[in-house]
Amino acid sequence: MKLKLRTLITALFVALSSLAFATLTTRAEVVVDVTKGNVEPLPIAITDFLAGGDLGAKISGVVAADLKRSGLFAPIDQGAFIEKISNPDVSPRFEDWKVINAQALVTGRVTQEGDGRLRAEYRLWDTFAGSQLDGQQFYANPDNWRRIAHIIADAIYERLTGEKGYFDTRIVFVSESGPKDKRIKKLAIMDQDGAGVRTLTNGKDLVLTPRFSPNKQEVTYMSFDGDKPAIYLLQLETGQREKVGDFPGITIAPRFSPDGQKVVMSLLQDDGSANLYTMDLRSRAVTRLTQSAAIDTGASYSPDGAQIVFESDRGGKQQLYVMSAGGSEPNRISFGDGSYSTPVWSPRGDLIAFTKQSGGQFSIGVMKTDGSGERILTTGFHNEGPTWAPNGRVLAFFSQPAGAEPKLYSIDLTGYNSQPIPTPQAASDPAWSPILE
Amino acid sequence: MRMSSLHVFVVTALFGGAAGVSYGAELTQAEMSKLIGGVQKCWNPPATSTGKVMVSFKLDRSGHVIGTPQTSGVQVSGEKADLLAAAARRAVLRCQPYELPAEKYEVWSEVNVNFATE
Repeated sequence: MKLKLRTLITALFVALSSLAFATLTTRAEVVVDVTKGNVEPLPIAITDFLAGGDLGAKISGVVAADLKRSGLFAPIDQGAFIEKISNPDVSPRFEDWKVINAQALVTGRVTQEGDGRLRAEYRLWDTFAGSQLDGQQFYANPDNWRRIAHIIADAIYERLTGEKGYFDTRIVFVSESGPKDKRIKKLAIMDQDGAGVRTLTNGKDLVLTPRFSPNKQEVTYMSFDGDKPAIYLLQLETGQREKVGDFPGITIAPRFSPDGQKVVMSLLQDDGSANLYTMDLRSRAVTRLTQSAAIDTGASYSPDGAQIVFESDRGGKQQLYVMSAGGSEPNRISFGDGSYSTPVWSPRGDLIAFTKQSGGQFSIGVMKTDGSGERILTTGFHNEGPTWAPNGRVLAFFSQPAGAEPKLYSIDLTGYNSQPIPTPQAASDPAWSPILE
Repeated sequence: MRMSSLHVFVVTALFGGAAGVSYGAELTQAEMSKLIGGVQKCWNPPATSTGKVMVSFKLDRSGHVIGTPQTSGVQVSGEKADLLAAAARRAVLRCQPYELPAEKYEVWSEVNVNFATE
Protein backbone atom coordinates (compact mmCIF):
# COMPACT_ATOMS: atom_id res chain seq x y z
CA MET A 1 0.00 0.00 0.00
CA LYS A 2 2.82 2.31 1.01
CA LEU A 3 4.63 1.42 -2.18
CA LYS A 4 1.51 2.05 -4.27
CA LEU A 5 1.02 5.50 -2.69
CA ARG A 6 4.65 6.43 -3.34
CA THR A 7 4.32 5.28 -6.96
CA LEU A 8 1.16 7.35 -7.32
CA ILE A 9 2.80 10.47 -5.88
CA THR A 10 5.79 9.97 -8.12
CA ALA A 11 3.61 9.57 -11.18
CA LEU A 12 1.59 12.64 -10.26
CA PHE A 13 4.73 14.74 -9.77
CA VAL A 14 6.19 13.61 -13.06
CA ALA A 15 2.90 14.42 -14.78
CA LEU A 16 2.74 17.89 -13.20
CA SER A 17 6.37 18.56 -13.98
CA SER A 18 5.85 17.51 -17.58
CA LEU A 19 2.83 19.78 -17.81
CA ALA A 20 4.82 22.67 -16.38
CA PHE A 21 7.63 21.98 -18.82
CA ALA A 22 5.22 21.81 -21.74
CA THR A 23 3.66 25.12 -20.67
CA LEU A 24 7.07 26.68 -20.37
CA THR A 25 8.08 25.45 -23.77
CA THR A 26 5.07 26.95 -25.48
CA ARG A 27 5.39 30.21 -23.53
CA ALA A 28 9.15 30.44 -23.83
CA GLU A 29 10.65 33.86 -24.07
CA VAL A 30 14.03 34.94 -25.26
CA VAL A 31 15.50 37.83 -23.28
CA VAL A 32 18.43 39.72 -24.73
CA ASP A 33 20.34 42.87 -23.82
CA VAL A 34 21.27 45.36 -26.52
CA THR A 35 23.59 48.05 -25.25
CA LYS A 36 25.70 48.90 -28.25
CA GLY A 37 23.77 51.39 -30.30
CA ASN A 38 24.61 53.11 -33.53
CA VAL A 39 24.21 56.79 -32.73
CA GLU A 40 23.76 57.98 -36.27
CA PRO A 41 21.86 60.91 -37.75
CA LEU A 42 18.19 59.97 -38.06
CA PRO A 43 17.21 59.41 -41.71
CA ILE A 44 14.33 61.79 -42.43
CA ALA A 45 12.41 62.45 -45.64
CA ILE A 46 11.44 66.08 -46.13
CA THR A 47 9.09 66.54 -49.08
CA ASP A 48 8.63 69.82 -50.90
CA PHE A 49 5.71 71.67 -49.36
CA LEU A 50 2.82 71.98 -51.77
CA ALA A 51 2.63 75.55 -53.06
CA GLY A 52 1.72 77.51 -56.14
CA GLY A 53 5.30 78.46 -57.07
CA ASP A 54 8.72 77.42 -55.86
CA LEU A 55 8.18 78.62 -52.30
CA GLY A 56 7.29 75.13 -51.05
CA ALA A 57 10.61 73.74 -52.25
CA LYS A 58 12.48 76.71 -50.79
CA ILE A 59 10.90 76.22 -47.37
CA SER A 60 11.53 72.48 -47.28
CA GLY A 61 15.10 73.17 -48.46
CA VAL A 62 15.76 75.43 -45.47
CA VAL A 63 14.13 72.93 -43.08
CA ALA A 64 16.30 70.13 -44.47
CA ALA A 65 19.47 72.25 -44.30
CA ASP A 66 18.78 73.24 -40.68
CA LEU A 67 18.21 69.65 -39.58
CA LYS A 68 21.24 68.40 -41.48
CA ARG A 69 23.53 71.05 -39.99
CA SER A 70 22.52 69.95 -36.50
CA GLY A 71 24.28 66.65 -37.14
CA LEU A 72 21.35 64.72 -35.63
CA PHE A 73 19.43 64.19 -38.88
CA ALA A 74 20.25 62.87 -42.33
CA PRO A 75 17.73 64.21 -44.86
CA ILE A 76 17.18 61.65 -47.61
CA ASP A 77 17.82 62.67 -51.23
CA GLN A 78 14.46 63.50 -52.79
CA GLY A 79 15.46 61.46 -55.83
CA ALA A 80 14.93 58.32 -53.73
CA PHE A 81 11.32 59.18 -52.85
CA ILE A 82 8.74 56.70 -54.18
CA GLU A 83 5.48 58.37 -53.16
CA LYS A 84 4.73 61.82 -54.50
CA ILE A 85 2.73 63.65 -51.85
CA SER A 86 -0.27 65.28 -53.49
CA ASN A 87 -2.39 65.84 -50.40
CA PRO A 88 -0.57 66.43 -47.11
CA ASP A 89 -3.84 66.05 -45.19
CA VAL A 90 -4.03 62.30 -45.78
CA SER A 91 -1.77 59.60 -44.39
CA PRO A 92 1.18 58.81 -46.63
CA ARG A 93 1.89 55.30 -47.86
CA PHE A 94 4.18 54.35 -45.00
CA GLU A 95 5.54 51.28 -46.78
CA ASP A 96 6.96 53.52 -49.53
CA TRP A 97 8.88 55.51 -46.93
CA LYS A 98 10.04 52.52 -44.90
CA VAL A 99 11.54 51.00 -48.04
CA ILE A 100 13.89 53.97 -48.37
CA ASN A 101 14.62 53.80 -44.60
CA ALA A 102 12.94 57.12 -43.85
CA GLN A 103 12.33 56.90 -40.12
CA ALA A 104 10.48 60.20 -40.08
CA LEU A 105 8.61 62.02 -42.85
CA VAL A 106 7.73 65.70 -43.21
CA THR A 107 4.93 66.86 -45.49
CA GLY A 108 3.42 70.32 -45.78
CA ARG A 109 1.65 73.02 -47.70
CA VAL A 110 2.06 76.78 -48.16
CA THR A 111 -0.85 78.98 -49.15
CA GLN A 112 -1.47 82.71 -49.28
CA GLU A 113 -4.27 84.07 -47.11
CA GLY A 114 -6.72 86.74 -48.25
CA ASP A 115 -4.84 89.34 -46.19
CA GLY A 116 -1.60 88.53 -48.03
CA ARG A 117 0.01 86.54 -45.23
CA LEU A 118 1.58 83.15 -45.82
CA ARG A 119 0.09 80.16 -44.12
CA ALA A 120 2.52 77.26 -43.77
CA GLU A 121 1.40 73.95 -42.32
CA TYR A 122 3.36 70.78 -41.81
CA ARG A 123 2.90 67.26 -40.56
CA LEU A 124 5.57 65.03 -39.06
CA TRP A 125 5.06 61.27 -39.44
CA ASP A 126 6.62 58.27 -37.74
CA THR A 127 6.86 55.91 -40.70
CA PHE A 128 7.56 52.72 -38.73
CA ALA A 129 4.78 53.34 -36.20
CA GLY A 130 2.50 54.48 -39.04
CA SER A 131 1.30 57.51 -37.14
CA GLN A 132 1.41 61.31 -37.12
CA LEU A 133 3.78 62.72 -34.52
CA ASP A 134 3.03 66.40 -34.90
CA GLY A 135 1.22 68.91 -37.06
CA GLN A 136 1.20 72.70 -36.83
CA GLN A 137 0.55 75.77 -38.92
CA PHE A 138 2.17 79.18 -38.90
CA TYR A 139 1.36 82.56 -40.41
CA ALA A 140 3.84 85.19 -41.50
CA ASN A 141 4.54 88.00 -43.88
CA PRO A 142 5.79 86.53 -47.20
CA ASP A 143 9.15 88.27 -46.63
CA ASN A 144 9.60 86.10 -43.55
CA TRP A 145 9.36 82.75 -45.31
CA ARG A 146 12.84 81.78 -44.08
CA ARG A 147 11.76 82.37 -40.49
CA ILE A 148 8.74 80.13 -41.03
CA ALA A 149 11.09 77.42 -42.29
CA HIS A 150 13.37 77.84 -39.25
CA ILE A 151 10.37 77.70 -36.89
CA ILE A 152 9.16 74.47 -38.53
CA ALA A 153 12.68 73.02 -38.29
CA ASP A 154 12.72 73.93 -34.58
CA ALA A 155 9.38 72.18 -34.05
CA ILE A 156 10.59 69.02 -35.80
CA TYR A 157 13.90 69.09 -33.91
CA GLU A 158 12.10 69.46 -30.59
CA ARG A 159 9.62 66.65 -31.33
CA LEU A 160 12.33 64.23 -32.40
CA THR A 161 15.08 65.06 -29.89
CA GLY A 162 13.15 66.21 -26.81
CA GLU A 163 15.27 69.39 -26.73
CA LYS A 164 14.50 72.94 -27.79
CA GLY A 165 15.59 73.89 -31.27
CA TYR A 166 17.90 76.78 -32.12
CA PHE A 167 17.25 77.45 -35.80
CA ASP A 168 15.06 80.54 -35.46
CA THR A 169 17.98 82.53 -34.07
CA ARG A 170 20.55 85.01 -35.25
CA ILE A 171 24.25 85.53 -34.77
CA VAL A 172 25.85 88.93 -34.37
CA PHE A 173 29.55 89.06 -35.21
CA VAL A 174 32.42 91.28 -36.30
CA SER A 175 32.83 91.38 -40.07
CA GLU A 176 36.46 92.06 -40.99
CA SER A 177 38.09 93.32 -44.17
CA GLY A 178 41.20 95.16 -45.34
CA PRO A 179 44.90 94.84 -44.58
CA LYS A 180 46.12 94.30 -41.01
CA ASP A 181 47.31 97.87 -40.54
CA LYS A 182 44.03 99.30 -41.84
CA ARG A 183 41.62 96.66 -40.70
CA ILE A 184 37.93 97.54 -41.02
CA LYS A 185 35.71 95.90 -38.43
CA LYS A 186 31.95 96.22 -38.74
CA LEU A 187 29.24 94.89 -36.53
CA ALA A 188 27.07 92.51 -38.58
CA ILE A 189 24.12 90.20 -38.01
CA MET A 190 22.75 87.16 -39.85
CA ASP A 191 20.49 84.14 -39.40
CA GLN A 192 22.23 81.26 -37.63
CA ASP A 193 22.71 79.50 -40.99
CA GLY A 194 24.55 82.46 -42.50
CA ALA A 195 21.63 83.85 -44.51
CA GLY A 196 20.50 87.47 -44.52
CA VAL A 197 23.75 89.14 -43.50
CA ARG A 198 23.48 92.87 -42.84
CA THR A 199 25.97 95.25 -41.30
CA LEU A 200 25.01 97.33 -38.27
CA THR A 201 27.91 99.80 -38.17
CA ASN A 202 29.73 101.59 -40.95
CA GLY A 203 33.26 100.44 -40.15
CA LYS A 204 34.52 103.90 -39.25
CA ASP A 205 35.07 102.86 -35.64
CA LEU A 206 36.58 99.58 -34.52
CA VAL A 207 34.07 97.24 -32.86
CA LEU A 208 34.71 94.28 -30.57
CA THR A 209 32.93 91.71 -28.40
CA PRO A 210 29.26 92.10 -29.38
CA ARG A 211 26.80 90.33 -27.03
CA PHE A 212 23.06 89.77 -27.40
CA SER A 213 20.49 90.86 -24.89
CA PRO A 214 18.75 87.75 -23.48
CA ASN A 215 15.27 89.17 -24.04
CA LYS A 216 15.39 92.11 -26.44
CA GLN A 217 16.52 92.83 -29.95
CA GLU A 218 19.48 94.66 -28.50
CA VAL A 219 23.23 94.19 -28.61
CA THR A 220 25.98 95.49 -26.34
CA TYR A 221 29.51 95.82 -27.70
CA MET A 222 32.75 97.70 -27.36
CA SER A 223 33.65 100.48 -29.74
CA PHE A 224 35.68 103.65 -29.80
CA ASP A 225 34.49 107.05 -28.79
CA GLY A 226 37.26 109.00 -30.47
CA ASP A 227 40.40 107.28 -29.21
CA LYS A 228 38.78 105.89 -26.10
CA PRO A 229 37.04 102.51 -26.08
CA ALA A 230 33.62 102.44 -24.51
CA ILE A 231 30.62 100.17 -24.24
CA TYR A 232 27.47 100.75 -26.29
CA LEU A 233 23.96 99.44 -26.61
CA LEU A 234 22.46 99.11 -30.08
CA GLN A 235 18.74 98.63 -30.76
CA LEU A 236 18.59 96.29 -33.74
CA GLU A 237 15.17 97.38 -34.97
CA THR A 238 15.75 101.14 -34.83
CA GLY A 239 19.54 101.33 -35.16
CA GLN A 240 19.58 103.63 -32.12
CA ARG A 241 22.97 103.61 -30.36
CA GLU A 242 23.61 104.58 -26.76
CA LYS A 243 26.77 104.69 -24.63
CA VAL A 244 26.66 102.64 -21.43
CA GLY A 245 27.81 104.99 -18.68
CA ASP A 246 30.64 107.46 -18.70
CA PHE A 247 33.52 105.89 -16.91
CA PRO A 248 36.86 107.55 -16.17
CA GLY A 249 38.77 104.61 -17.67
CA ILE A 250 38.42 102.19 -20.54
CA THR A 251 35.55 99.70 -20.38
CA ILE A 252 35.70 96.35 -22.19
CA ALA A 253 34.09 92.90 -22.44
CA PRO A 254 30.43 93.71 -21.70
CA ARG A 255 27.74 91.10 -21.20
CA PHE A 256 24.07 91.28 -20.19
CA SER A 257 22.66 89.78 -17.01
CA PRO A 258 20.10 87.00 -17.70
CA ASP A 259 17.18 89.37 -17.00
CA GLY A 260 18.62 91.93 -19.40
CA GLN A 261 18.51 94.63 -16.73
CA LYS A 262 22.24 94.94 -16.13
CA VAL A 263 25.49 94.91 -18.05
CA VAL A 264 28.62 93.51 -16.43
CA MET A 265 31.90 94.82 -17.81
CA SER A 266 35.56 95.31 -17.05
CA LEU A 267 37.02 98.74 -16.28
CA LEU A 268 40.71 99.24 -16.95
CA GLN A 269 42.40 101.43 -14.39
CA ASP A 270 45.46 103.65 -14.50
CA ASP A 271 47.59 101.19 -12.54
CA GLY A 272 47.07 98.55 -15.22
CA SER A 273 44.58 96.54 -13.25
CA ALA A 274 41.03 95.83 -14.38
CA ASN A 275 38.02 95.14 -12.21
CA LEU A 276 34.48 94.02 -12.84
CA TYR A 277 31.53 96.40 -12.55
CA THR A 278 27.84 96.21 -13.28
CA MET A 279 25.58 98.96 -14.47
CA ASP A 280 21.84 98.84 -13.94
CA LEU A 281 20.42 99.91 -17.30
CA ARG A 282 17.37 101.58 -15.74
CA SER A 283 18.82 103.43 -12.77
CA ARG A 284 22.34 103.71 -14.25
CA ALA A 285 23.65 102.73 -10.82
CA VAL A 286 27.18 101.33 -11.01
CA THR A 287 28.38 98.58 -8.65
CA ARG A 288 31.96 97.42 -8.29
CA LEU A 289 32.22 93.63 -8.05
CA THR A 290 35.93 92.83 -7.71
CA GLN A 291 38.76 94.54 -5.81
CA SER A 292 41.85 93.19 -7.47
CA ALA A 293 45.26 94.41 -8.51
CA ALA A 294 45.07 91.93 -11.38
CA ILE A 295 43.13 91.95 -14.65
CA ASP A 296 39.61 90.64 -14.10
CA THR A 297 37.57 90.50 -17.28
CA GLY A 298 35.34 88.34 -19.54
CA ALA A 299 32.47 88.06 -17.05
CA SER A 300 29.46 85.84 -17.82
CA TYR A 301 26.41 85.22 -15.62
CA SER A 302 24.93 81.86 -14.71
CA PRO A 303 21.42 81.51 -16.22
CA ASP A 304 19.79 82.05 -12.80
CA GLY A 305 21.79 85.26 -12.36
CA ALA A 306 23.21 84.10 -9.01
CA GLN A 307 26.83 83.61 -10.08
CA ILE A 308 29.42 85.03 -12.43
CA VAL A 309 32.34 83.29 -14.11
CA PHE A 310 35.25 85.47 -15.18
CA GLU A 311 38.89 85.28 -16.16
CA SER A 312 41.66 86.72 -14.01
CA ASP A 313 45.45 86.63 -13.82
CA ARG A 314 45.37 87.19 -10.05
CA GLY A 315 47.11 83.84 -9.60
CA GLY A 316 49.87 84.74 -12.06
CA LYS A 317 48.25 83.32 -15.19
CA GLN A 318 44.81 83.75 -16.79
CA GLN A 319 42.45 81.30 -15.12
CA LEU A 320 38.71 81.01 -14.60
CA TYR A 321 36.99 81.99 -11.36
CA VAL A 322 33.38 81.72 -10.20
CA MET A 323 31.94 84.13 -7.64
CA SER A 324 28.53 85.23 -6.44
CA ALA A 325 26.80 87.82 -8.61
CA GLY A 326 27.51 90.36 -5.86
CA GLY A 327 31.23 89.71 -6.15
CA SER A 328 31.85 87.63 -3.02
CA GLU A 329 33.62 84.29 -2.65
CA PRO A 330 35.64 84.05 -5.85
CA ASN A 331 36.88 80.50 -6.39
CA ARG A 332 39.32 79.38 -9.03
CA ILE A 333 37.84 76.56 -11.13
CA SER A 334 40.43 75.98 -13.90
CA PHE A 335 43.64 74.13 -13.05
CA GLY A 336 44.81 72.55 -16.30
CA ASP A 337 48.02 73.39 -18.17
CA GLY A 338 48.04 76.70 -20.03
CA SER A 339 45.74 79.68 -19.63
CA TYR A 340 41.97 79.99 -19.81
CA SER A 341 39.88 82.88 -21.09
CA THR A 342 36.50 83.98 -22.56
CA PRO A 343 34.33 81.87 -20.23
CA VAL A 344 30.64 81.59 -21.13
CA TRP A 345 28.03 79.96 -18.92
CA SER A 346 25.77 77.46 -20.73
CA PRO A 347 22.08 78.38 -21.02
CA ARG A 348 21.39 74.99 -19.36
CA GLY A 349 23.49 76.09 -16.39
CA ASP A 350 25.59 72.93 -16.15
CA LEU A 351 28.71 73.82 -18.16
CA ILE A 352 31.10 76.67 -18.84
CA ALA A 353 32.68 77.01 -22.28
CA PHE A 354 36.12 78.60 -22.58
CA THR A 355 39.13 79.28 -24.76
CA LYS A 356 42.29 77.51 -23.60
CA GLN A 357 45.78 78.42 -24.73
CA SER A 358 48.31 75.66 -24.26
CA GLY A 359 51.33 74.37 -26.14
CA GLY A 360 51.09 77.13 -28.73
CA GLN A 361 47.54 76.17 -29.70
CA PHE A 362 44.10 77.48 -28.90
CA SER A 363 41.28 75.15 -27.94
CA ILE A 364 37.58 75.52 -27.32
CA GLY A 365 36.43 73.42 -24.39
CA VAL A 366 33.80 72.97 -21.72
CA MET A 367 33.96 72.14 -18.02
CA LYS A 368 31.44 71.72 -15.24
CA THR A 369 30.77 74.82 -13.19
CA ASP A 370 33.01 73.55 -10.38
CA GLY A 371 35.86 73.10 -12.87
CA SER A 372 35.66 69.32 -13.07
CA GLY A 373 35.09 67.28 -16.23
CA GLU A 374 37.09 69.48 -18.60
CA ARG A 375 36.65 68.42 -22.24
CA ILE A 376 38.36 69.95 -25.25
CA LEU A 377 36.02 70.14 -28.26
CA THR A 378 38.40 71.47 -30.90
CA THR A 379 42.01 72.63 -31.13
CA GLY A 380 43.77 74.75 -33.73
CA PHE A 381 46.22 77.54 -34.45
CA HIS A 382 43.77 80.16 -33.19
CA ASN A 383 40.29 79.20 -31.99
CA GLU A 384 38.58 81.67 -29.72
CA GLY A 385 35.40 83.18 -28.35
CA PRO A 386 32.80 80.44 -27.81
CA THR A 387 29.13 81.38 -27.70
CA TRP A 388 26.25 79.05 -26.87
CA ALA A 389 23.20 78.39 -29.01
CA PRO A 390 20.15 79.00 -26.82
CA ASN A 391 19.48 75.27 -26.35
CA GLY A 392 22.95 74.69 -24.88
CA ARG A 393 23.81 71.87 -27.31
CA VAL A 394 25.79 73.76 -29.96
CA LEU A 395 28.58 76.33 -29.73
CA ALA A 396 29.85 78.85 -32.27
CA PHE A 397 33.37 80.27 -32.22
CA PHE A 398 35.88 81.78 -34.61
CA SER A 399 38.91 80.04 -35.99
CA GLN A 400 41.89 81.54 -37.74
CA PRO A 401 44.42 79.16 -39.29
CA ALA A 402 48.01 80.46 -39.60
CA GLY A 403 48.21 83.15 -42.27
CA ALA A 404 44.51 82.94 -43.08
CA GLU A 405 41.44 85.01 -42.35
CA PRO A 406 39.25 84.27 -39.34
CA LYS A 407 36.00 82.39 -39.98
CA LEU A 408 33.04 81.30 -37.91
CA TYR A 409 32.31 77.67 -37.02
CA SER A 410 29.77 75.77 -35.01
CA ILE A 411 30.40 72.55 -33.10
CA ASP A 412 28.25 70.13 -31.14
CA LEU A 413 28.72 69.85 -27.40
CA THR A 414 30.04 66.33 -27.98
CA GLY A 415 32.93 67.74 -30.03
CA TYR A 416 31.53 66.33 -33.27
CA ASN A 417 29.93 67.99 -36.27
CA SER A 418 32.19 71.02 -36.65
CA GLN A 419 30.71 73.11 -39.46
CA PRO A 420 31.72 76.41 -41.02
CA ILE A 421 29.13 79.18 -40.80
CA PRO A 422 29.35 80.99 -44.14
CA THR A 423 29.99 84.74 -44.07
CA PRO A 424 30.73 87.01 -47.03
CA GLN A 425 33.92 88.33 -45.45
CA ALA A 426 36.29 87.36 -42.66
CA ALA A 427 34.45 87.09 -39.36
CA SER A 428 35.21 86.92 -35.64
CA ASP A 429 33.62 87.35 -32.20
CA PRO A 430 30.26 85.61 -32.79
CA ALA A 431 27.42 85.96 -30.28
CA TRP A 432 24.33 83.79 -30.57
CA SER A 433 20.90 85.33 -29.98
CA PRO A 434 18.16 83.82 -27.88
CA ILE A 435 15.22 82.23 -29.76
CA LEU A 436 13.45 85.03 -31.61
CA GLU A 437 10.03 86.08 -30.37
CA MET B 1 17.46 11.63 -8.66
CA ARG B 2 15.98 12.20 -12.06
CA MET B 3 12.93 13.91 -10.54
CA SER B 4 15.20 16.26 -8.58
CA SER B 5 17.01 17.34 -11.74
CA LEU B 6 13.76 18.08 -13.51
CA HIS B 7 12.51 19.98 -10.49
CA VAL B 8 15.59 22.18 -10.48
CA PHE B 9 15.18 22.88 -14.16
CA VAL B 10 11.54 23.89 -13.76
CA VAL B 11 12.29 26.22 -10.85
CA THR B 12 15.11 27.84 -12.78
CA ALA B 13 12.92 28.29 -15.81
CA LEU B 14 10.05 29.68 -13.77
CA PHE B 15 12.12 32.28 -11.99
CA GLY B 16 14.42 33.11 -14.79
CA GLY B 17 18.10 33.84 -14.79
CA ALA B 18 20.39 36.79 -15.36
CA ALA B 19 19.47 39.33 -18.06
CA GLY B 20 20.88 38.45 -21.41
CA VAL B 21 20.27 34.72 -20.96
CA SER B 22 17.66 32.83 -22.96
CA TYR B 23 15.21 31.48 -20.40
CA GLY B 24 14.36 28.60 -22.64
CA ALA B 25 18.05 27.79 -22.89
CA GLU B 26 17.24 26.31 -26.26
CA LEU B 27 18.97 28.73 -28.57
CA THR B 28 22.66 28.21 -29.07
CA GLN B 29 25.08 31.01 -28.31
CA ALA B 30 25.54 31.57 -32.05
CA GLU B 31 21.77 31.86 -32.56
CA MET B 32 21.48 34.29 -29.66
CA SER B 33 24.35 36.37 -31.03
CA LYS B 34 22.65 36.48 -34.41
CA LEU B 35 19.43 37.72 -32.81
CA ILE B 36 21.25 40.36 -30.76
CA GLY B 37 23.23 41.48 -33.79
CA GLY B 38 20.05 41.64 -35.84
CA VAL B 39 18.42 44.05 -33.41
CA GLN B 40 21.59 45.94 -32.58
CA LYS B 41 22.28 47.04 -36.13
CA CYS B 42 18.98 48.96 -36.11
CA TRP B 43 19.33 50.41 -32.59
CA ASN B 44 19.85 54.10 -33.22
CA PRO B 45 19.16 55.69 -29.83
CA PRO B 46 18.39 59.41 -29.76
CA ALA B 47 21.65 61.32 -29.36
CA THR B 48 19.94 63.51 -26.81
CA SER B 49 18.74 60.71 -24.50
CA THR B 50 20.37 58.20 -22.22
CA GLY B 51 18.53 55.43 -20.39
CA LYS B 52 16.97 52.00 -20.66
CA VAL B 53 13.79 50.52 -22.06
CA MET B 54 12.46 46.98 -22.59
CA VAL B 55 10.60 46.05 -25.77
CA SER B 56 8.43 42.91 -25.82
CA PHE B 57 7.14 41.44 -29.06
CA LYS B 58 5.90 38.27 -30.65
CA LEU B 59 7.27 36.77 -33.83
CA ASP B 60 5.57 34.66 -36.44
CA ARG B 61 7.26 31.61 -37.86
CA SER B 62 8.87 33.66 -40.65
CA GLY B 63 10.54 35.96 -38.08
CA HIS B 64 8.22 38.91 -38.63
CA VAL B 65 6.91 40.95 -35.71
CA ILE B 66 3.24 40.32 -34.94
CA GLY B 67 1.35 43.49 -33.99
CA THR B 68 2.93 46.44 -32.21
CA PRO B 69 5.95 45.90 -29.95
CA GLN B 70 5.20 46.90 -26.35
CA THR B 71 7.60 49.00 -24.30
CA SER B 72 8.00 48.98 -20.53
CA GLY B 73 10.44 49.91 -17.80
CA VAL B 74 11.61 53.12 -19.45
CA GLN B 75 14.39 54.63 -17.36
CA VAL B 76 14.78 58.17 -18.61
CA SER B 77 13.21 61.35 -17.40
CA GLY B 78 10.62 63.63 -18.95
CA GLU B 79 9.66 63.90 -22.59
CA LYS B 80 12.66 61.88 -23.65
CA ALA B 81 11.04 58.70 -22.33
CA ASP B 82 8.71 58.64 -25.35
CA LEU B 83 11.60 59.24 -27.73
CA LEU B 84 13.67 56.43 -26.28
CA ALA B 85 10.71 54.03 -26.37
CA ALA B 86 9.88 55.02 -29.96
CA ALA B 87 13.50 54.51 -31.05
CA ALA B 88 13.55 51.05 -29.44
CA ARG B 89 10.26 50.03 -31.08
CA ARG B 90 11.58 51.32 -34.41
CA ALA B 91 14.76 49.25 -34.04
CA VAL B 92 12.71 46.07 -33.57
CA LEU B 93 10.49 46.84 -36.56
CA ARG B 94 13.26 47.97 -38.88
CA CYS B 95 15.38 44.86 -38.55
CA GLN B 96 12.68 42.24 -39.02
CA PRO B 97 12.45 39.52 -40.21
CA TYR B 98 14.75 37.75 -37.76
CA GLU B 99 16.43 34.63 -39.06
CA LEU B 100 16.07 32.00 -36.36
CA PRO B 101 15.90 28.18 -36.57
CA ALA B 102 12.37 27.16 -37.58
CA GLU B 103 12.48 24.00 -35.48
CA LYS B 104 12.93 26.11 -32.35
CA TYR B 105 10.03 28.47 -33.02
CA GLU B 106 8.44 27.69 -29.67
CA VAL B 107 11.55 29.08 -28.00
CA TRP B 108 11.77 32.39 -29.85
CA SER B 109 8.10 33.11 -30.50
CA GLU B 110 8.24 35.79 -27.79
CA VAL B 111 11.22 38.08 -27.34
CA ASN B 112 12.10 40.72 -24.76
CA VAL B 113 14.88 43.10 -25.68
CA ASN B 114 16.44 45.28 -22.98
CA PHE B 115 17.75 48.33 -24.84
CA ALA B 116 20.22 50.63 -23.15
CA THR B 117 22.20 53.59 -24.37
CA GLU B 118 25.92 53.56 -23.73
